[in-house]
Amino acid sequence: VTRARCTRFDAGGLERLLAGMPPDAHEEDCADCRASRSFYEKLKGRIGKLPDPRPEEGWQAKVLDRIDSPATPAAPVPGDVSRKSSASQMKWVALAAAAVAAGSVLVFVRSRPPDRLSLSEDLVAVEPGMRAGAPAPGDRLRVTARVGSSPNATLRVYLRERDVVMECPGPSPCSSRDGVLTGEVTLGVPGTYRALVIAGHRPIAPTTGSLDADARAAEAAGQRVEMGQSVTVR
Amino acid sequence: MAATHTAIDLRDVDDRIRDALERADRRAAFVAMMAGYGDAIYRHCARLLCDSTLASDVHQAVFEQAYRDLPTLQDKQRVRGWLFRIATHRALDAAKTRRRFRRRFVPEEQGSALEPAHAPTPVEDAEAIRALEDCLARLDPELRATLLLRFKEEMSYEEMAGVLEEQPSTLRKRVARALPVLRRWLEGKGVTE
Repeated sequence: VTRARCTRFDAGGLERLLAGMPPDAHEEDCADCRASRSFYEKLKGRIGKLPDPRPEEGWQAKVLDRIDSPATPAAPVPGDVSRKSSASQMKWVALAAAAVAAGSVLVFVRSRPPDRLSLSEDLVAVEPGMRAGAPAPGDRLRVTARVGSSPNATLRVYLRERDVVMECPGPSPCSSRDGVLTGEVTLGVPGTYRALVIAGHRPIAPTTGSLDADARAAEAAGQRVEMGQSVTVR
Repeated sequence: MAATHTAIDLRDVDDRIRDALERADRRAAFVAMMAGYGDAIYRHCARLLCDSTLASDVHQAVFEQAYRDLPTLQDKQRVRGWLFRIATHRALDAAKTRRRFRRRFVPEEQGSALEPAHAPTPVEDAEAIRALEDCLARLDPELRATLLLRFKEEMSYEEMAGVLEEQPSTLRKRVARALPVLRRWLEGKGVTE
């Protein structure tokens, strides 16, 4: 039979420790509480000593590329100078490759996997201020979805995951061109806004009034679904 | 020791960012920001998300947002808190989205894998760190963020309040709530001291 540990440390000693206060009289006399204090001291130190994962090489260049050319889906490979210097020679190779590609394109189109959906959101603040990540009523949310070659696609923004406040194509101001849907909505009232894009070969069903249900139904119908990050307006 | 070096380096980074912003050189400020805070923000995202691929995406999105919002950064003394705030919001959002997808498409795990079936044996420090990583990954992301900001990033509760938009007293209580949970789980893995 093991003896029950004294629980007084978790009931108050821990807060004293976190506030940088010394042990009280009970803690000094109680072996369990001394052991608890020692454990938590070590635990704090161990969290500090957790290994530091490092970002992938070249991430800064990727970010700068995207900032410099937000409309360009794919940036050229940095450092690939040989391609530029031998451009004229490559032209003939490219023409030959194009001919081969043209011959096989039908087979490829039939067998290739569906295009990957992507969804990006930009917040347009009406009043600048230091409130990163904390949009305010009146700000606008611009949503861009890349749906590739899907014949049917819809982009929606839900308020509180229930009410569709923007739908593209639809009555909301938006554009749909070359597989890119772009819409914008004013974050008029406090609440959580979240974008959803659905794409596929079948027509998209109208909303059921629930983001979850719409996403599940689309998945069940074999359509592709991508959900944006929630934007909370307080 | 490392914390002291970091503090000195970050003051230098903040000076460079401030100087660039005063010259209206947004790009130079941003490059200095990436160089100075890139690793710390990635570390925070990776620890919060426990997924290096997702962390890379969120990390880069954080800096894209930071570039967009840079003109709105009014308190140039507090770049670190501002960046950590963006990163924490983004990472918690990503964690939430991932949870929703997992709930929908991946069967729930049964029971708690952290409760031992037999009496655990004590472990060495390196093992304790590995066990801690496992246990932290199991913690609710908001509790995890709080512990990491406090003990990994060594932020004061006042600094954390700016990042997490909570009162310092609330955050202290949150830490006091999270640590006994971690202790119980760690003891289940043999980390008893």
